[in-house]
Formats: sequence, structure tokens, C-alpha cells
Amino acid sequence: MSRPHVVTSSELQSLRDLELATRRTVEGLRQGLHRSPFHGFSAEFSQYRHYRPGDDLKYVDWKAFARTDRLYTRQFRETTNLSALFVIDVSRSMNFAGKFNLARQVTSVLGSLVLDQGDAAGVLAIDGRARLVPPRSGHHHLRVFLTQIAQLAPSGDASLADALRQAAVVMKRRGLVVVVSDFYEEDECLPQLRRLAHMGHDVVAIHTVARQELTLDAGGAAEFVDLESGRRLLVQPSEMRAGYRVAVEQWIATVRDTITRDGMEYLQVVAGEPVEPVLRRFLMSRRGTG
Amino acid sequence: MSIQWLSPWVLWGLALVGVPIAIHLLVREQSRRVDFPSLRFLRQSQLAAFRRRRIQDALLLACRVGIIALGVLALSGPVLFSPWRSAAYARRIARAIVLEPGTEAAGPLEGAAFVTKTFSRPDIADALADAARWLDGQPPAARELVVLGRFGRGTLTSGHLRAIPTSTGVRFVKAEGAQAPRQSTTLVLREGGLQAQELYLSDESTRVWDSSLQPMTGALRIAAAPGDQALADAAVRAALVGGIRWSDAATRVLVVWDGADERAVQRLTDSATIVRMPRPVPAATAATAVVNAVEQVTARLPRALEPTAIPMEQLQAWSRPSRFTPEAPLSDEGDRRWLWLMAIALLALEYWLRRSRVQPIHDIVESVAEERVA
Repeated sequence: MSRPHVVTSSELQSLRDLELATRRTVEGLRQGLHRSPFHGFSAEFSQYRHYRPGDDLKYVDWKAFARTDRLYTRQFRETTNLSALFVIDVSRSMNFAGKFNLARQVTSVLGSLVLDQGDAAGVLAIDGRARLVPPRSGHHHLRVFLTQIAQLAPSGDASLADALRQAAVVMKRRGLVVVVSDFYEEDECLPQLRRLAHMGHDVVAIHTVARQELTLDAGGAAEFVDLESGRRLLVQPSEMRAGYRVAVEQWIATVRDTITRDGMEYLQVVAGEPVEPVLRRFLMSRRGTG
Repeated sequence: MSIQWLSPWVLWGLALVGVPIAIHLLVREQSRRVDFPSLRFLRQSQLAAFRRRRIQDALLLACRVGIIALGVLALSGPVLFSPWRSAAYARRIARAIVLEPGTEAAGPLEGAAFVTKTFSRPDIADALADAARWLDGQPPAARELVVLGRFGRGTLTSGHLRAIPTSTGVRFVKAEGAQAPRQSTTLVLREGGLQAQELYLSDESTRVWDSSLQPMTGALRIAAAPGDQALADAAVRAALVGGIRWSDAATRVLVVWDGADERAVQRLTDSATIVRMPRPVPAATAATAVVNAVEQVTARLPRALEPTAIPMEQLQAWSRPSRFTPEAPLSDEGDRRWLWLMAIALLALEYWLRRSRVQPIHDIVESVAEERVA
């Protein structure tokens, strides 16, 4: 199956040995890799709990009773499938130094990973109108998923906050919400992220930044144009580079702290730098906590 | 102070200054534009580089406009009339010397001229025309026409001088060797009787006395019709031709104009050969007519017709001082050289500006710093 050229096959293959696990319990409709909030009785042992009258005696751990003289009931972890929604920021500020391509690349890689592991993946962006591919599973859905990502483009009418509101509606069950953005609209979108987290979704905020954004490495004096508002400013980068870097670092730290404080996960990817090691670390860290 | 142009039509080329202006407006280099995701962490810089770029742009445009304008002005051949230059022009004299036929050039004339040329033609009218043309083509200067001759009657008229521009000074110089005043007597029938007139040609004074009883002397007598005093005078003057010694003439000649009193003519028939001829019109041509008539009779041609002199008063009236007028034809006196020099200086400035604005100094410093870091 040929895939739309958003991400190369080698990039997809590089992370095939990993899976995107959730850090929270998710609600699925069928059995899968991920923890379910429902403790059923399946193969994977989860924990003991004190026996309560009415518990099925076949789940009582008699060996433990023999050792401790107390009745414990064994509980098993029920696994279910994951429903992941990738919300992509298509605002104009993303159209800078390959940030949007990076967002599409990350989304494609993670979405492919989700679909490859049998989970459902969807994508949502709002650029004047909602562009939604609802989370579905199956390899046949991968093409739809990647095609939608390939068709996205930065637009002036984009609103990440609206997309996140829409995501809260789309994601009826607890699942994974991956938000890929530069978070320049943090005042509007962070409350929406917090709301998603409070709804029980596993929220991952992937912060895409460009190296030039971090360092203001823009050469000599120039007229800087705000991609969002079109505002113009005559700037001598060498004059304010140091102060800019400090301000940007503080802003990123604030965004990161705000996100992580609310139980969401923050991941920063830098355009122009290899993304595979970053994603690998990210996936490994989630597997460790899963 | 005023300015005039040798080739004023070239000034239309000044429209070419619109070319660099149009280019500047149409393809002027915008300041380098950098699209940036957000300007929230940036602030306006008080950029000397931008100010300098704008100033350099304006200077560059001014240089290019100036180069074209100066080039066009130089090609137009400007002549700047400062008071100093006008005075210098007025001081120098372009002099044309016209020699009356039969007159030889005399020695140096009064007043030095920075350019002089002598004109001599069989017809003095042609010589005057040549001189006028030559003066017309001379560089800015006071123009003077000097007529050298004996100024015989009929040789020079106000019609000849009418062709000379009014700005050109006219001066008359008596040629050396001009014949001495001559005297002659003529018979004029006046008031029903013959009267003798004695003319002194030097001052053209006429003395009339009753000579009816005195025998007439002289070989040539002219009997004029009543009222033709001017005609008679002209004929007498014309008859006084240098080299013809009328006293030696074998034949006395009586020139009789049409209309002369036949009774007087009859009285002289025995003593002279009578030549009848129509009355010349105008009177000034009487000289030629008389000589022709005499020639027919005596078969002795004068070597030259030397009419009597034009009155000094007339010559003085025709004379006028030379003066310089800016309307005179101009020549480049080096003014365009200064314009070319200024254009070259602007060209050098434009080159320097263009070189210096390619890479602002802070960019150079940054690139050097980056190279060192690398």
C-alpha cells in the first residue's frame, strides 16, 4: 500500500519495535494493549484486594491465605484497545522553518504506530472548518489517516482551541489525545487541554519549535513579520538575541510546567533536528510507565 | 547671471532622469523580510542600519539622477553668463575688415582684436555679406566691422549696411592714398540762364557765382535739366576720375541729359562734343553713365572710377559702436567640462555607495564573528 508522502517509510520503520502506550487507563470496546478502568478477570494479574463477601471464591488466593491467614481476592487487569486522536495546530505560525512538516511527520509516525498496534487513530484540525478523521483502527484506515494529514496546510483561520473543544466532543470515551502545536495560543488552548485531561484523556502535548525560534539566529537586521497577525517590526537580532533567548526559554518552561502540572505529558520536538531519537525516548518512557 | 545652451534641444534628455526614479520606485530593495511565528518576544530596534540604508538609497538615487542630469546638461552645451564673463566677452573684439575695391589693406587698426579677418571682393556688397557671415560664426565677443576705403559716392549706401546686424559695430577708415579733393566746374541751367558751379569735393561745398560772361574752362561740362542739381553734382563728381587729365583731352565733351535746355546746348555746340544720354536714375548711377559717355567720345578709359567721397557726416551717422550681446552665437567656453567632472565625481560616489550598502557593517562583523566561532 503506497502512502501519501508525509513521512518516509524508513521513518515509520525506525520505530516499529515500539508501541504507543497510554499512561492512563483508557476505555475501549475490545481487548487490546492498554489498561482499562474496568478490572475484569483475564490473564494478566493486577493486584490483591481484601476479600469482600460475594467475591467469587475461585479468585481467592488460598496460598496467600495460608501464609498470612487473611483472605485476598486476586484482581486481573483488563486490557482494551486505544482510541487516539491527533489534534494538529494548522495556524500560520506553524508554517515556519519546517515546523508544520515536523508536526505532520510526528503525527504520521505516532498514528502509524497506533494503527499498527491495532488501535484506533484519528486526526483533527480546524482551519476555518473542521477536518476530522475519526479514530478508527485497521490498516486500511492508515491511508485515510495519512491522506488527511498530507492535505492539511497552515491557514489563517485556524484555531487550536476550537479543535480541542471539538476533540472533547469527538472523544466520547477516555483515550489518547495528542496535540501537536507551537502553543503560541497558550492562553486559549491550555484550558482546553486541561479540560481534556480532566475528562480522563491521556493528553500528550507535543511542542514543535524551530531552532531559529529558540536562538533568534536570523542573520542581520531585518523586518520581522508576524505570521499570525502580519504585524511588522524592524529588528536587529544581534541586539536582542540574548534577551530573546531568555524570554523564549522562560515561556517554554511556563508552557511545559503548566502542561505537566495538570498531569499531561509534554514533549518538545525541534524542527531541523532528528526526530526519531526524541520519539524513541518518548515512547520508551511511556512504555516504562504503562 | 544667465545661462544659454549651445544645443538646447538636448535638454529634452533631462526626461531620462525619470528612469532611475522609476527603477527606484519599481524595483527598490525592500528591507530584508523575515517571517517569524510570533513577535511577542521581540521589540523594535532603533536600527542605525535601516536609517543608513534609507539615507543610502536616497543618496544613491540622487547620485544617479545627478549623473544623468549632468550628462544631459553637458551635452546641451551650457554657457554661463556671469558678469565677469560678460565683461570679458564685451572686452574682446572680433573684427572683420572690408576693403573697398581698389583699396589695399592698411596697417594695424586702432584697437586690438582677438580675431581678425579681411574681406575683399569686386563688389563691396559681397564683401560685406561675407564679413557679416563670418562675424556671425565667431565666439562670443563684441563684433566690429571696419570698412576701409575711399568711400566714393555710390560705392556704399545705407542699403549695403542694412545687412549688417545692429549689434555689430561699424567703423569707417579712410584708406591711405585717397585722392585729394578735386574741383570742377559745371554748367547748370538754372532759372533760365546758365550758371557755373564750382564744387570742392573735399567737403562737397558748392559755391555758385554768376559766370555767364566768363568763358568756361575744363574739358567736361555737364548741362543738367532744371531742378536736377543733384544729378548734375553726381555727374561732376563722377567725371573727376583719377588719371584722366581733362585739360589734356583732345576733345571737349558736353554731356547733355535728356531734358536739358537746348538753347544752352546750342551755344556750346561749337566748342565741345555733345553727348546726349538719358537721365540716369537714380542719380548715384550718374557717375557710371557719365564715364561711359565720355569713354565713347574720348576713347580714353579711366583706370578706375573714383567717385567723390561720401560726406563724413554720413559716415559718422552710419558708424556705431560695437557691443556684446548674449544673443550672439555662443561657443562652449569650457562650462561643459565642469559638468562632466561633476558627473564623474557623482559616478565615483555612486559606486562607493553601491559598494558600501551591499553588506552593512554589522553583517560583516557578525559574519567575521561566526567564522571565528566556526
